[in-house]
Amino acid sequence: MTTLAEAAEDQDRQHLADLWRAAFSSRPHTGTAGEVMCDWIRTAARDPLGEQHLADLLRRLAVTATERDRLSYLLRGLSRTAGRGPEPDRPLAEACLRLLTAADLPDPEAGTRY
Amino acid sequence: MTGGRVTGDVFSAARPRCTTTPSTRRPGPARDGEVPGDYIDRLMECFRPGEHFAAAESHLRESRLVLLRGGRHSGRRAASLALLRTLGVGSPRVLDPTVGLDDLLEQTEPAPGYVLWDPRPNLGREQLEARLLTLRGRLARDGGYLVITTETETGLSWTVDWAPPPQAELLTAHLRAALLRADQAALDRTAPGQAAPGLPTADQPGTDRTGPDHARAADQAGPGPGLARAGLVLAAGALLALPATVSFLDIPRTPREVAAYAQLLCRHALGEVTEEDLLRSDRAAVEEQVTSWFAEGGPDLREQSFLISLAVFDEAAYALAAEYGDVLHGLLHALEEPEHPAGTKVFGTSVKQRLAAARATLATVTETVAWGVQRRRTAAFDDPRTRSMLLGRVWLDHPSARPALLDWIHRLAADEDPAVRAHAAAATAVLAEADLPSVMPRLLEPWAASLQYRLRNQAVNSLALLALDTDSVFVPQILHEWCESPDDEIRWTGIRGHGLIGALFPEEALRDIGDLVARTVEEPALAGLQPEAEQQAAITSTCLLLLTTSRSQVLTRLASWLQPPGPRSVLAVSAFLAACYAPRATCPIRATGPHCCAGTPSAARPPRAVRRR
Repeated sequence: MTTLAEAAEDQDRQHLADLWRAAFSSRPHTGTAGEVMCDWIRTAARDPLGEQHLADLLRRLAVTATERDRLSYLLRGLSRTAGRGPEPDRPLAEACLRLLTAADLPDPEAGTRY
Repeated sequence: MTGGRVTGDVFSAARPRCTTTPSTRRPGPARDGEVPGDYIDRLMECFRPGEHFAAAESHLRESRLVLLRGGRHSGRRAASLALLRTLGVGSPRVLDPTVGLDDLLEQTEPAPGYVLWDPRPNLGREQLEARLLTLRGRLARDGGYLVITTETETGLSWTVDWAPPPQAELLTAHLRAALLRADQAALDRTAPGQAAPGLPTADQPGTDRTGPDHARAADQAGPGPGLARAGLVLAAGALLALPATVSFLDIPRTPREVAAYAQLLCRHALGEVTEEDLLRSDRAAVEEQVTSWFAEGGPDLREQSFLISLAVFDEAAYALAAEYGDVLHGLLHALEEPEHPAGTKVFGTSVKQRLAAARATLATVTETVAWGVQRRRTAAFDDPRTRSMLLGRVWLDHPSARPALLDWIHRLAADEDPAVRAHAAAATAVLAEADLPSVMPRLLEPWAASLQYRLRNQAVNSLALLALDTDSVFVPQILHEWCESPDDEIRWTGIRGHGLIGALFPEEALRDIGDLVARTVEEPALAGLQPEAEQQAAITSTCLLLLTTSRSQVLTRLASWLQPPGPRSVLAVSAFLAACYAPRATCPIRATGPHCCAGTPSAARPPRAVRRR
């Protein structure tokens, strides 16, 4: 059985997006939701099909301005952390940037990329 | 009969023997006296020598005496008669097994051949050897051969191990003989005036034998008169290829069972029994075996306890079955004699004999445990139906044993070893299937209400196996009632049960769990003393449902819970995030034990601790 992130049915993906949206907007859950999303991104960065699925999810999820900013912030943050340090994870950093473009997310810090 | 001396032929053909199977209804040899020649004639029609027969024969020819060692119900007595027959002894004399070996030949007049079946008591090796040498001297002087059968290992060079012939071969022999007899009987019936000796042959003049009895056989035999030899072979071949026969031969059988089945097959050929009857007879044989184990005159209490334990630990390590069998023996013995606790004979048990008597077989399996790959000796009943039949029969037919059985199962359920607990759960499921109304208040409900996590888990696992093995419609109903219980522990068990069994009934599970979390918020008085534990259980179960069940169905339901915000939406989001953490490409569940998991979808196994935040 595939994991939730690999769900292929359109209806399932919409329900996943609904649940993610609810998780991010629920005060007690938003912190966990951010961590779990980072986990999904790390996994998807190693698998082209997973990356496609995730880009689709991010598009569905980024509707309001708040949501777009939140996801954009999350991806950039992860990309920066991954690109720095003594052992930078270049593939992950690049996947984050690809996802940003694929999901058409705003770039609040345009021009300040590492 | 005077002074222990048998004079003349005291064989009584009318003596009732075991009347369980058609084949044993005919007169068999009595305990003493002579075995009539025509009985051996009939025996020889079906007898097949088996692997070591030739060795035994040459030994007997040279030494005049042989010890034939074979397991219970292995046909060693028939082999003793056949041995003497091959040496030309028409009617051997049966010696009294209770008479000492010294006086053995005193009890009877000299005869060309003797059989001594399973003498008691078993002598030590040296004593036995000395007496046998004396006996051999007498036999050499007076003439005569002696075959002694024994079940136990003697260690003497006089011993030949008796191994029954391949059972398919034996069945073929019995079947041919039975078909021939049936054919002969029909011949005699339809042509009473005509002497029809010997076997029907193709060139025998046509007697009208197209009666209903022969319709089927005649199909096989072609248009010729009756069952010609070739037709008989054909008919036997068709009967041996029946699915019922194939499944019969799939399991080790005793020669007696083979003979009985051959009779049944023959009646099937005559159109007297249907193929369903054949299959049913097979099941009835298991039932009969189980019943006889616990009837008067069965094995002793320790072996009976071992049988019950083996039913619980079927396909598990032999040592587990033996160890816990002794525990059960202690408990059962305490019911019979509370004043005198049972002692356990620690050594001296032959595993091989014990399992042969239990119709079970040892196997060596390799399995992966926490520390690597390991080899284990497991024991399993030859017929897989024995396990549930035995547990059911003991529970239903021998309620006096219940106090000890319940005590024992409670101990197994609380055992440190998860494999033991898993087998206890599987056994409880079998008992629940047999008799749910009595197992609920005695085992499942006390476990569900227990303060110990382990026992509540045991209730859940037992119910899960019951649901999986039997498609029991009661299980969702039981869980529903538990979810509504005023008792904190029972509600917890109900929720966790839904998580584990939800793969079978996801709608009911989600409904009950959703209702429960909503109710605890709407009516705080019902929330119980540990609302957090309950909330956690609800999250774990819903998470499991999402991972193990029809995903779309659960996702749809969880998404529908998001509005309006409330306890259901909190549960949906928490369970969803927990499920999102499930590691990729690995099933987030843990095996409970070898037996529990056999044939059960992974969905029903208890959860590995799901990572939660």
